[in-house]
Amino acid sequence: MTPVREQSDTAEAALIEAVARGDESAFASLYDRYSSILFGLLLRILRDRPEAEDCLQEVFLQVWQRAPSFDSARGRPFTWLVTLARSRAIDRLRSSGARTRTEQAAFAETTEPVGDAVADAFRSEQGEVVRGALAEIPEEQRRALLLAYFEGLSQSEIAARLGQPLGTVKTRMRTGMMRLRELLRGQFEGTLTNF
Amino acid sequence: MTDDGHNKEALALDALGALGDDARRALGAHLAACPACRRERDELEGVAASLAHTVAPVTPPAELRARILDSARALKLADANGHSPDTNGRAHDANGRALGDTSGRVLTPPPERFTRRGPRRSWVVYGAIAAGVILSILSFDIFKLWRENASMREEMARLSREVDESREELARANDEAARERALADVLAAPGARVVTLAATKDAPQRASARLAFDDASGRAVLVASGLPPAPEGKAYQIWYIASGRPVPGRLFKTDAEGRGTLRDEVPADGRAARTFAVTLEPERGVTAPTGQILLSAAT
Repeated sequence: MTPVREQSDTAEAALIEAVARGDESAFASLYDRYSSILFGLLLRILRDRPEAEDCLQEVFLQVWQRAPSFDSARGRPFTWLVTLARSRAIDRLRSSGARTRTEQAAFAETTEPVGDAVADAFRSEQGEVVRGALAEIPEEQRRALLLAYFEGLSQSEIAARLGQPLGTVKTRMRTGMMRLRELLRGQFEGTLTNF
Repeated sequence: MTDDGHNKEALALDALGALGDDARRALGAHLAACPACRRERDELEGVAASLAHTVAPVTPPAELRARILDSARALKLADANGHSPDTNGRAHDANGRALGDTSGRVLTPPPERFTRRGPRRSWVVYGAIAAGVILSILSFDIFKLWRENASMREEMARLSREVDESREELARANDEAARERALADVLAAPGARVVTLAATKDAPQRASARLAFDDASGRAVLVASGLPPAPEGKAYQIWYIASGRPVPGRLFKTDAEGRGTLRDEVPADGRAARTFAVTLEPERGVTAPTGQILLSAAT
């Protein structure tokens, strides 16, 4: 963990506290800082622009209302915001129909492999680090993690999708997450909760 | 649970939002009582969130920013006037579920009541703004309901197609059963026998038929398969060949899947037949075969 990173986390936590007090300009700053990364994430999950725009509005209004529940002891502002956005997007995905969703996941996997082409346009430091870490974990673990995170598939849906026993899939996902944590921890030299 | 009650796999799966409902409830109960697992879950959630770094950021349209900031201000004003979106201060989706309950991960304690208060100004102004806000929230909900309705209609159409398909399958299965029963009926007679008619070189190789035949009563049932539907104006006809002379039987057609059934009363002069054949003939039937033999059997 670098000092710069620590500072920015603290500054952002302060921003969220200000948002919790109803500070509109703090809310605007938070939007300006996070709307692009969150919108990119929503587009990746929902694959539909109007839907992602709707969802982004829902996410930020929820941030506005839920900011008092943000607890910097539990995790970084980045994690809080991304987790909230991902949850909203997956909710939408699930309510749009489970059958089409697994089909979409199959489609998504074939059209957007890890390290997709869009990434050429965007090479952030963190992006590189996480990509690098993902590339180091075995393919079958990585696939299961990405199916869960971006396609919103549950453990049993992943097992069905990969044609593997549920127990195997669960172990792989746990092992993959442990490995990823280890790799990222090494990269950022940070403490666990702060990554 | 494994690992002395601390389900490590469940923690990782929960951080990825991949737990099923039951497992999520069980984990929630454990997390409430186990600070160590809570810490690990939060930490793994951070690891999972880092996956978002692999996605390229996309700048949302400028008007969306304006809309979001306006809505936030409007919510605050509505709240200041006591018109909070709901009594818990939580946003709800069109089904009335509190947002955040269905995301596939165990929730942290629900957020506190929406407590912000705007500066005091004229109630008339706030009232008007609040009315506008409520109207826009309502139209947003109506729009969402409309969309959900549309997707439910699609789902119903899909289900009804599936029901139709199942019905057809059932009908096919019933046909099949009826054929089997017809064969069984004939075979129940003491002197009955079954012969299998095989494809000649002039028929598709997979074509065949079984003929159940009772010499005493003359009852016969033929079940054919793999015979393509006969062309317009044509039908298949069975022949009972006794002493080298073909005695004409009835005609039958096959369905799209190449299956057909025929019940026949074999004329007296055909009952001694030891050879059987099927030809393609004009659909009114002929007294002597004109088409090539497609299926045949000799006993």
